[in-house]
Amino acid sequence: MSHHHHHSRRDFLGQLGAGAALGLGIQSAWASELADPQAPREPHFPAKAKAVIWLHMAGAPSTLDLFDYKPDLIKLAGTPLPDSFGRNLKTATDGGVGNLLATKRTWKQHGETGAWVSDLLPHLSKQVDQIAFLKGCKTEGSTHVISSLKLHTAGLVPGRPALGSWVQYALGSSNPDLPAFVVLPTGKGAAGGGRGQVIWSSGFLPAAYQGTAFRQGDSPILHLARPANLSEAEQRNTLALLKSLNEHQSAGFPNDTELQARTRSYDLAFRMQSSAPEAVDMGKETAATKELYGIGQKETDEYGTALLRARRLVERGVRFVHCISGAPDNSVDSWDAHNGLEKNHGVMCKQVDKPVAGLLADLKSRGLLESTLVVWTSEFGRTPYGQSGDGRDHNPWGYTSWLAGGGIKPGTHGATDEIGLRAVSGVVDTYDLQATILHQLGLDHKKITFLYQGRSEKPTSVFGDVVKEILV
Amino acid sequence: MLAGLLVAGAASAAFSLDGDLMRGIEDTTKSLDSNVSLKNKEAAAAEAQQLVDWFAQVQGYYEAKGDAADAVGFSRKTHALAAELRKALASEDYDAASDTLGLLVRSCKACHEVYKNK
Repeated sequence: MSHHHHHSRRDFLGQLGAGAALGLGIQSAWASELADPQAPREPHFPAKAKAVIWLHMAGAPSTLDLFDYKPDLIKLAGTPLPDSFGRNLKTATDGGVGNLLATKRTWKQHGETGAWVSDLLPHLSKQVDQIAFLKGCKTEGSTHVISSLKLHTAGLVPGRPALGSWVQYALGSSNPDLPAFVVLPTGKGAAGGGRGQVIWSSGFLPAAYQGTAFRQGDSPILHLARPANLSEAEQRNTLALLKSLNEHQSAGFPNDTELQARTRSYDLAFRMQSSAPEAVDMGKETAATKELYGIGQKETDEYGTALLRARRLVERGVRFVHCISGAPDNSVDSWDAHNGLEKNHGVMCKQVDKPVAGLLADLKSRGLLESTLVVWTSEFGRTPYGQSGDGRDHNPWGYTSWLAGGGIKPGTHGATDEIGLRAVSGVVDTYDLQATILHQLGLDHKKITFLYQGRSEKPTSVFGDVVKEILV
Repeated sequence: MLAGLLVAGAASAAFSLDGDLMRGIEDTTKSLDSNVSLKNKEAAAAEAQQLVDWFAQVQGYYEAKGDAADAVGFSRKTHALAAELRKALASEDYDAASDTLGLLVRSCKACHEVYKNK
């Protein structure tokens, strides 16, 4: 399967129309040569996963304090970074290179896989047998925005589509009443960058493929709810009249699908008035399920609610749910602990630990984990050398991400060097992570193409290899 | 031997291994990937030839430099892959061309792991 679309003035106008409707999260008019963006499409080969829940730990946690246990870093703490490790290293942020900073955590191996997890994640440590840890991750750039763009769009500058957009483009939607790519931003704080709309943009793909951001609360999409002064019967009548007028007009121009597409978009918006709130309605969830996600507890309520929503959306056929972590309160900005790492990670881990563990357990108990790929990742990791005395700087050279479910084999793949500075084996670049996720969805990353400005563009640009070692 | 050094010196003076060249290679590689995907025979063949020429120069540069055995190995391998790619395109085997291009890109990245920050 190859998806070649040739752009024309009509496409451009169609995209303008779609762009105008973005706030509603609905599709707008489509030109005849563009397929219905919602229509389901076949994968290249049988898929292991039907959906992805992408947990973006925005701001970049120190995986040296969570998953990557380095006894040598503890031994060398307080000494300068040895030349043998720092050779050819280009540090770009203001903090400079401080002395090596030991983790203050206590560490234990967990589960049958014996995965190391620190005491910051007591709930997640009970789920390690579901997880494939990628301990040799690497990326490029040392600023949040650039590395976050690379992680999500395979580009270093804005303009390329997010991975979720490519997935929606390649597979369409399996639920015509909901968008296939939903974004769930959580928490407070805007520091750290790289977490705004640009990372769920459809880039050069048609605008309908962009992520639809759901707000917190009962009304997930802005302006979607019917105005209070309009009854359902009145709205139905209005739309029925509009539809009949459109169809009458359309009958005179049978080859003009723009009007047909516009009619469909009204239908979709009407259906989403009930489908979207239903998807996020926790009313039918049991108290035990809510407890599993930490809902009702101050530190975990918002993030847990987002992850339970993610499960509900996946159950309803949403293909890609992008959860972005923010801070639970004003005590920290994000995971971006240039200083005060102990306090920062104490707060941030408390926020995500129980909900993420709850998500994995819940998916497993419902038989959904087999077909749902859960991804924990961040724009980069953090350095083994210190910054500001009690923080760590950005580290694009070596860090940990992990995958669970969706045909992924639990265990540990790859490693950083003895102090956790650089990936040295089983190296996984962000392009490889993206290619692997697409593979599990039944897609060959080299065969998903879109013609843009005369060039056949692909989700991972020219890079990316599937990490075959972690596949079941 | 002196003559050999002079030739190598002259070659390296005429050829500058700088950021512009590397960006040119990257842009050409991306364009070539597109042209292979679109089966644009002539454009792809021209770009493959350009890569063959550039990597011959990169290989010659490092061989003349004399203190970068890894880079000689990487550039030699990449040059050979570019030639293989050109051959696949000549026979219009676009699947083979795509696979070979993937290997070529990997070879570029492997070299950059060692040399990009120097």
